[in-house]
Amino acid sequence: MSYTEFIKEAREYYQMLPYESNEVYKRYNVAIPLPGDEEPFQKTGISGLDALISSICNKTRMKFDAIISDSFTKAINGKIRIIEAKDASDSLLKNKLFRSSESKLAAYVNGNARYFILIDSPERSEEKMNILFVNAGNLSVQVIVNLGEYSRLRLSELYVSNSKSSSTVSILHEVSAAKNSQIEMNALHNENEHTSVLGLCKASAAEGARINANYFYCGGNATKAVSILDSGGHSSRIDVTEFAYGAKAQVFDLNAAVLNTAPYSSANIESGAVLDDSSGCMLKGYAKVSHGAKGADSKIAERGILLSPDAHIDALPDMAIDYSNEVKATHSASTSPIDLESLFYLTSRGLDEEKAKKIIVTAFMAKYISRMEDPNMREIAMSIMLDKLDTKAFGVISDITPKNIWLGEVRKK
Amino acid sequence: MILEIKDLHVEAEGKEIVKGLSLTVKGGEQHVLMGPNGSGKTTLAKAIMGHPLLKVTHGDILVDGESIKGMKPNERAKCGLFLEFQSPTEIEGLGFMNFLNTARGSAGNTKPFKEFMAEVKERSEKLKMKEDLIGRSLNYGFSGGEKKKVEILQMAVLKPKIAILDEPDSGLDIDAVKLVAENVNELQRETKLGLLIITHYSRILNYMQPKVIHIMQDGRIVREGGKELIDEIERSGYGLG
Repeated sequence: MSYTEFIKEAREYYQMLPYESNEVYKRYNVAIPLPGDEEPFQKTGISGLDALISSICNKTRMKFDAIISDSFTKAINGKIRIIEAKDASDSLLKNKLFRSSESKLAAYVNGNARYFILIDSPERSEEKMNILFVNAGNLSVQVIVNLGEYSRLRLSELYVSNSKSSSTVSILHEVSAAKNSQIEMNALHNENEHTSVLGLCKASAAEGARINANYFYCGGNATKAVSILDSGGHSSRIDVTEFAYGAKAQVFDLNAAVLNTAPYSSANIESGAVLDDSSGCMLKGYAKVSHGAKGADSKIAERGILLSPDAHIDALPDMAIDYSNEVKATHSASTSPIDLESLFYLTSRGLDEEKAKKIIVTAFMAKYISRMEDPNMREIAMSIMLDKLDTKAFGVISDITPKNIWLGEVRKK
Repeated sequence: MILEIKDLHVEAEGKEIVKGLSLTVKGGEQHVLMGPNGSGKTTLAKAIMGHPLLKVTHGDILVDGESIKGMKPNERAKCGLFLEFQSPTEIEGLGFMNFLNTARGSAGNTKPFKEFMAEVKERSEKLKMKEDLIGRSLNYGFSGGEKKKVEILQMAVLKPKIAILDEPDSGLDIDAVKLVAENVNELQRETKLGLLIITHYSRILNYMQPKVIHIMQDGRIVREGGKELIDEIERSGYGLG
């Protein structure tokens, strides 16, 4: 099969079949617009991109190990390997497509991925890596992470969009965590109003391994994220945090599935959203406890705050328990406007209503952001979220002032 | 400062809870409000502070002769009123110190941050609070007793002129009741704070000097008297008539 045929097939998968058989999920579904068939990799100019990247680096004070754009890539050091799809071996392409063919979305992203980002953490290594993704057209990337035994990796990814016309960012992560390894994966999407996001993650944790995956979405007209994480090793642990801030008519479709397939494995999904105007979000957490997963512990919690009567959240926690003895499985969901009792408490201490509301929302966001252990990412995430809360502006980062924001201080404009 | 409640009627969800209650608390005075469950004590406390879901249908609340009925809770706080909540709200993600710093700014406390921190440290030591409490999210995961101490700490830093303490002793062990009472008394001596203490138990009153005990039943004050009233309640309950 030629490369072009791969792409064609992957597109057909996505367009013809829903990626899931769950009838409820089909009803609550956001379809992401896909780039046109005629131009799989829409080349865009890079004018202004250099300045944008410099500006982001300065504002975030992050040291990026790689910068990936749809127009160019730059590996700053040898930690991260970048392979352009056209240079990738057929076996890599075929293997990837074959392995992900059970997921139509994954097949789509695989088929379209222009770049493969390869990260291999050697045994017992301890590393921190930052990647900046800049979308100026249709950025499509596959990130493959292989963790050696007992290794530790913190991978923080910042996504910004600067596209001037309708575009889609599609990212597929494939993570394999070997015995007793640990990974913290942080992804912060700060897209603009022209951009749709298709984010996929497939991860597996071997014995004693720990995966802490944190996804934050703001900006972008439509976002669909699907994470499938397999807690397949004895005593392995997976924590997934998803959070969306939406305004105007933005829509988010956040899916996280965790599979407890091994004894004493634990999986925890926490999803949250703060929505304003007529924005909407679907929070779809699914946890499965398989046969043989004695002592497994699975939790799903979905929470949302609605800042406008026109905003809506569909919280759909779902569990399937095949092994009913000696397992813990809980799920909960709640969405509401800002809690009046909390508002009364804060205003009774002298805070005016507007400030009190901001503090409540900020605290809600901080709860999710604190799941990231990377202090720099926490500050950037909080800063961007606060900026959105104040301005509702999409697009690149307008300002980042790390000082004091982590404590929940409401930044004065 | 004088807080005057005049023939106050308060409704919650269309049901009248406070049914014509009058009470005056002056700076430096201690008043105690007791009464059976459901008599309207907490509703009264929240109405004084301006809870948005409570409707004052008749009567008035005055501070130094001026009506505060139309004021929002934050405006009432700026007038010098403080409510110690019976069940303080938990807000995960909001650092307690950050909240307190923001609140004291709203209350006009412009002390340098270093002095503010020193004051918080001193007060929290007097309250024998665990050191990590002030570094955590507001009331989140605190025990009942810890929440009460955090409320008293806020009062000490915000320095109101009249404070309504809604069951400051619930959830506290014997030693903590004494400790809280001592801290409240000290604050009163320092700032001439006027107090309206809502309680079900006489123990805290062993350490306080209330001027008047008010007994509230079915939304009204039905008896008033000195400390001797407490003995009567202990003997006969609220059916003392």
